[in-house]
Amino acid sequence: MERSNYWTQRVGRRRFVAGAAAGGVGVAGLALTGCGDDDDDGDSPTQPAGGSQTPDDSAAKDAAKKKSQESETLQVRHNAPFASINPWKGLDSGLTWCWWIYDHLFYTPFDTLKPELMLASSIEQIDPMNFTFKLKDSKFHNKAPINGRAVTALDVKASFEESKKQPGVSQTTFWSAIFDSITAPDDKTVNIKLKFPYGWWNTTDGLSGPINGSIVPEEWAKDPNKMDTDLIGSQRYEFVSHQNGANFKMKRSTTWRDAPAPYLTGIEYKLIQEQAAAIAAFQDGQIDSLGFNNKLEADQVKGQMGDKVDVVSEQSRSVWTTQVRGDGPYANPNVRKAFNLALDRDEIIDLLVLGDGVKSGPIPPSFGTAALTEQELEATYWKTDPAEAKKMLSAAAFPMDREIEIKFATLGDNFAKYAEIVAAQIKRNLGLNTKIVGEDLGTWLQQSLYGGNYKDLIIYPTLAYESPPTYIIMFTKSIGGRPNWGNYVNEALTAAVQKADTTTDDADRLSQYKALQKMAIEDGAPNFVTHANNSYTGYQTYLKDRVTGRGSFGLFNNELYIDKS
Amino acid sequence: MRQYTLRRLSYVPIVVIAVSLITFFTLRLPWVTDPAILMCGMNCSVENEQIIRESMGLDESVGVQFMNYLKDVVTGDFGLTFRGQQPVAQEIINRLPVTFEIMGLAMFFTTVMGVTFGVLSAVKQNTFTDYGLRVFAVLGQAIPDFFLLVLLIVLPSLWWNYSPPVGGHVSIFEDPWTNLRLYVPPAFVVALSSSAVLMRVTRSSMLEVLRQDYVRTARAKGLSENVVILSHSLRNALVPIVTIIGSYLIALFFGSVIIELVFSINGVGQFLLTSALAYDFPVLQFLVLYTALVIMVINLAIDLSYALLDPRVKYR
Repeated sequence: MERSNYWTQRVGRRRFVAGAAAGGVGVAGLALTGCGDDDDDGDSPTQPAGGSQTPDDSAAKDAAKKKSQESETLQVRHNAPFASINPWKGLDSGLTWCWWIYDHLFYTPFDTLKPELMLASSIEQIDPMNFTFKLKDSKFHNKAPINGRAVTALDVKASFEESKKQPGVSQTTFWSAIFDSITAPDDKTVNIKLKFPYGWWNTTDGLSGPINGSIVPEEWAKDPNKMDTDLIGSQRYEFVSHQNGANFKMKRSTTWRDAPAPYLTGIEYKLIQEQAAAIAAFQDGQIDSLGFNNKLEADQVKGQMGDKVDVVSEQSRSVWTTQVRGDGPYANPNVRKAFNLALDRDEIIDLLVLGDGVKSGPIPPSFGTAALTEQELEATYWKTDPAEAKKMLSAAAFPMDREIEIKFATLGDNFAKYAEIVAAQIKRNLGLNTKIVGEDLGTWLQQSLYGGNYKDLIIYPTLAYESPPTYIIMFTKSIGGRPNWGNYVNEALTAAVQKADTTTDDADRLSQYKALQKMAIEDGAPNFVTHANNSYTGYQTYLKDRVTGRGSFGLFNNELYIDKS
Repeated sequence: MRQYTLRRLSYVPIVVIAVSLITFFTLRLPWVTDPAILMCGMNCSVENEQIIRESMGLDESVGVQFMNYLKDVVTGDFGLTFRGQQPVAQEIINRLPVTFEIMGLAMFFTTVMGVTFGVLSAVKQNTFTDYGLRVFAVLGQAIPDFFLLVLLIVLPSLWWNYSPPVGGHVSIFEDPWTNLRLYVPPAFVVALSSSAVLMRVTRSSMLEVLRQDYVRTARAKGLSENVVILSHSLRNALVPIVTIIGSYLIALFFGSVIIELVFSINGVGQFLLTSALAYDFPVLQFLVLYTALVIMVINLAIDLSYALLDPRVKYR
């Protein structure tokens, strides 16, 4: 998941709404999809919520879908106005439009890590670095000046090449260093070449990146400022209007290739910043889904709305992290490990989210096979042992009179609360004096985190990434073209990450990812992931055939419809 | 009065230049966050960061930046927003109608309630009406606006599952009912505290005037109580009232940030807040300048109104 100015986008809400920062990717529309585990209906992850149907059910459902298509609009909350609707000028706009309005060649859900075809009708991997994609027949939205013309390989080529050059688009390592070239030998064929093999080519960290992977008309890709005032893509919904970067309206595209879907007249994004206002609007039926701050809030709303609401609980892929330095007194791995041994993850979960979370390894448990198991983590990474920790500090001659400074961004209650809990644990378990330092977002982000300007510790929740590499990049000596934030350098670990990333065999790569997490733990790599919160989303029960628990994949589910009968 | 007005207007360029200088250089102090980094983010290379900085014009020396800024301002070009690369002036003009409507409604309720209750309270001094209105004044001042605004959302939702309309601005000409449902309740709530202050000022001003000899004379002449109160007393009590109204108009300009945030209204206040948090220098520079001008105009209007209200006031 691309993540450039995520913090900037979030701050508007975070300053005023105290809540868990572990809340997905910051675009309210994603609330509809959920971002973690399967939903609570017990359906398989590849099926929308619902179940098997008899022929009678099927006829009724078809009728309801038709009615929904004619008269029902999905109403979704968004938290903050966008600076620009141009997807290449803002992370928020890019992530919002990427699945509704813009097509992609394919998408790989994080739960299966297997590509699902979208605009591409086939993918052929000729060798580890060369791919050929055949395109389906598809048309852009029927709006001037594109006027519903067919999508061609040249559009894909221009989109990839031009988005890669945009300073406003966050360029992941894939797009800046691995993607080599794209050619369009004919209207329906795209050849893509990588500079070297990259195992995650098919994830959101690769070719299915939500923003870089969005396909826009060639004319507009070459003159991106046109997207300041209007948007034209080839997905199921057509952009209609906005009010100064807020309150967006979309309507069903008449040129969508998989007719009769989609089954909604349109989609409306409504700007609601205060959570209290969002709950009121949800209860009043002015929005159809709502992310809750915690279980208590979800239970209260469920209690008031009863059968009118489904509450879905998911495990967040945003993980809370305590990060020490990798240099100075922390250059000794045993010092770093001692700090990890001082952390009591169960207590953190109890105090921070009233027990409503799960302990996590470097890669969150929701990634299944890529994550280490509880058994693997319990005796090592998650172990709390103050006596052993003190011994290690003493053996490493760590200055015990040092005041440990813990930096956090003043972005909401949970940041400060988490910092206070960690400070208390370090004081209690290591006998060190602590000081917590809150900083405004700009200073914290620019100087303390990216600039590595923190004396001892810095705390933060990660974003809810949709593929494992971004969790692992923290162990390497360079993060996004900058030195490791904690100045942690482990050449062997960096090499292991690079080797794993270039491994094309999925099983082998996943196994290497598990191994390198263990390497990181063994070396006391300085970012200690503590836990992932559970997140709660409410859906009006008239929303049918939702797909939840599959990250962004739910957004381009063709089946969603509204049945208020 | 014309001389006075011209003299006051002659201060405008001086204030504008001073405000521009202070704003411009304060935003570029060495320890202020670099907006290019905020725009760039985690995966941004140093090269890309520099491209963004150049596109913002922040790669030049501060002196050159200031000269460019002045040149642009003189030609009416306030630049592009850092975040969305849109013309600053247009972005603000687009948002003004919403903010003006909120300010207008809040000012309307403030004036109507404040003056009416103040006059009533003074006329009915030391009666239950007076006591009740004074309690209202104390409560209105004591309870913060943002708390009342949140209650305005929470309580109707709890009691009746009612929510104010969400989904953006609706023009009063297109759909008056939805427009009023959207703006009247928050404007009314915000007016409660300001009207409380205005009521107290009106009351004390009226009490002072009501003790004057000419009021007694008016009553002795047999004028009706309404004429005595409204024509003879209120008009003479208006000078402090107008001062308070003027200062509230200025305060409302900033107070609209809270209303717009709580009620998710995408107006100038909201724009100012998000721009400040993102260190969007061109927007901040423009809005500070604009605010300074608005304040000067309002102050001038208040001062000039004294002469209209009180014939004894002469400007030279």
